[in-house]
Amino acid sequence: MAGSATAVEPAQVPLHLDEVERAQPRRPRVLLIGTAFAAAGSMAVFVGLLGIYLSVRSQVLAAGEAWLPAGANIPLSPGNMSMVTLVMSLVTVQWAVHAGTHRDRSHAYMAMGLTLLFGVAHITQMAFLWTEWGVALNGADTTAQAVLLFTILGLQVAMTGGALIFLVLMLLRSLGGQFTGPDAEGLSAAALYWWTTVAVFSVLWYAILIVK
Amino acid sequence: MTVTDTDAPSQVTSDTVPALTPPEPATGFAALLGTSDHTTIGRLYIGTSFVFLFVAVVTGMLLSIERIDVSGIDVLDADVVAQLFSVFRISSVFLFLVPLLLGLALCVVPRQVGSPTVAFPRAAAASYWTYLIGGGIILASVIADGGPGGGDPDAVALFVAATIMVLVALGLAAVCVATTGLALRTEGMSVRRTPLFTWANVVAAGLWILTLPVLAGILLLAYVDLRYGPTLIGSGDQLFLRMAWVWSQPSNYVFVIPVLGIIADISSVAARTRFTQHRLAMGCIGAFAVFSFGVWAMPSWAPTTDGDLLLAYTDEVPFVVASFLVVVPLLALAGLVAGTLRRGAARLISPLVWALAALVMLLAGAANGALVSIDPLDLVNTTATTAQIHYVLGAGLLGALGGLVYWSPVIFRRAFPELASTGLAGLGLVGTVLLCLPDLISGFVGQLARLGGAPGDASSGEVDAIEAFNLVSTIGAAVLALVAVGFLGLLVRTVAGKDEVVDPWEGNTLEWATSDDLPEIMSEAPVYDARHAAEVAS
Repeated sequence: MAGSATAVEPAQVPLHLDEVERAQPRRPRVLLIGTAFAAAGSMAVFVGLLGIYLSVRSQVLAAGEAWLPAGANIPLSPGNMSMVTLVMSLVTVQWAVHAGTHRDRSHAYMAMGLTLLFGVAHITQMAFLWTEWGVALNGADTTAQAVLLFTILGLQVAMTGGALIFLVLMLLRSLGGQFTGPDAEGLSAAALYWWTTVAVFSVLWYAILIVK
Repeated sequence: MTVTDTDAPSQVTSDTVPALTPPEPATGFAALLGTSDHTTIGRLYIGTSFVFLFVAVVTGMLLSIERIDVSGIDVLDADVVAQLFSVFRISSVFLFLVPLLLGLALCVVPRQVGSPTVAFPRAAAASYWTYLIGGGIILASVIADGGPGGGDPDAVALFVAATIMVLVALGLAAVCVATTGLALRTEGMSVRRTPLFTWANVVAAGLWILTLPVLAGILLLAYVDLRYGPTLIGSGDQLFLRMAWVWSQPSNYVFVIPVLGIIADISSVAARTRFTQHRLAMGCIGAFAVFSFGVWAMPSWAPTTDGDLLLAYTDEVPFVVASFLVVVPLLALAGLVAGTLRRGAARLISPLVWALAALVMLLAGAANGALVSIDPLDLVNTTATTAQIHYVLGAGLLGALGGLVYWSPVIFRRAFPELASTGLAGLGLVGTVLLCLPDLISGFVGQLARLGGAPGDASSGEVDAIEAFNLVSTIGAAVLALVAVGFLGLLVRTVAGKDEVVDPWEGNTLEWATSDDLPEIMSEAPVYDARHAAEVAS
């Protein structure tokens, strides 16, 4: 087979990652847009519930009564700690997205792990708050305040749980090779929902736990 | 000899290792259960919505018959009236109209934007099964003495939980539809070139995503209250009143936004031309959506059992402004429809009759709503408010059925018989007018909404007039029931038919493309462009 095209030039392998032509992100960003809609729906629930909370509260105050029932007290520390924890989680979740976009897996996993840790810490802090605030859902002792407080903050904790599951799913898909590099859409979507979760809590933290 | 040198693989023969064959595709119910095909899911939504339509028809007829005689509750048990009201409203809006429109959207929107599938197909499938199960539990809970005003607290709580399930399911389907319309558009189809049905669905789904969760949040409060109280809402009339804002104006317009897209798409195809001022029509649909967003019009949360709570916000300026402004984009769109029909070579196809009937009823509903908002007329909490709700629901019914007739060749590959379909559309228009107009007139006489009867100071002549109007309204309800039964018969006959139909209307948009290769998209009507380019070339 002399003279046939057997002498193939070796492929030019780039020595540095900077020399690699970066692939364009996958379009369209379906997951990100879908998550944006889901986040809008989640926020709508809380806007409605908070409106009801403030409306009922203003009516009680207008009647000259105290908002919180006798024996109830909302301590500041758990709520403040939760807020600080969630603000820190915003940094780590963006760290995860940045690392995922740049194919830095170890940093992406570390950042995602920290975010999960902060999320779980928020849930435990809220559970602690519920044992401390002297408001109970307990048959004849149940008050309108208890119904509102437990429903709104409980739903926010459930939303946090959902956001954590979303983060874990995207982490697993990243481990499997999906949604890394320019296609870090999954991580971005999970981060978007996480930001929404934190934004919702920040409003509830001020309107319910600080203002009382 | 290393381990890798063993010739063990050579000892494996086709006799010892079973051939790798793909699993047999599931058939029957298993195939339905596992489907993620958008057309199948859409068909399931459409079929199931008709089951719930008959629940709405039966409960609506019962309530209509009950109120002919305004002297009191004599046909039904007084205890079940509130339950029947809630079943009627929920089944007509959340179990019939919205699911039917979502079913249409799931079938048509992906094709209109040139996508082979809907966004998140498994989520769309999950939404259908959740809707089906939730709807079934709603009915079961009412049978078990649940629902607003029910006697069994557990059944009432079950009703509330099931309604939340349905709302979540519809919200999920709305996310799928909106994402498809925005993110899965094919190359060349910019947002400005989006077909009007898709555009209307994106707008509607966006508003449903903002409206339904608010109602779900209220129901969650009600659920916690029922389980651990009750101290805030309870299980009685308050529960119904806390839900009532969503099917009162202006919120009820939100549920018929896709009908505007149906009307626009049908009218341009019936006229064999493009839609006049496509972008202006998109603006009209968007403006209608803005003025129909009515979460803010939730009644006050003052602890009261006053029946006026139903529309306690009606003396607010934003309510009056929104009630009038919502008419403007509707009128503008009606003008564009008329312009399109005049400019083209209009033909009277049956979907056009449905569409025009829906447009007229929607205009009537919006005008009725504007009248209700005029405080000196004192129409709030009278049957004039009921008439507005029924006009809008009637428009939704006519528009959705018209859409089903129009896209039947896309969804089922079959076409409805033209004459029968046209007749039903006309009958539907007559039935809706007979149902609503007497209510509007008796509202001026002062008849109270929700079986409230005649006003206390009514003369015997006024009571007689109100009862006569109620009789006519009941006849209208019966006509609409007849239309529903007749349409279902036509639908079954059409789907079971043998003659396959591809494009009987000469459609304009991508769902009517007969070739696998999509035409180049240069405008909002690519199939129309391709057909006319071929005609010019020949």
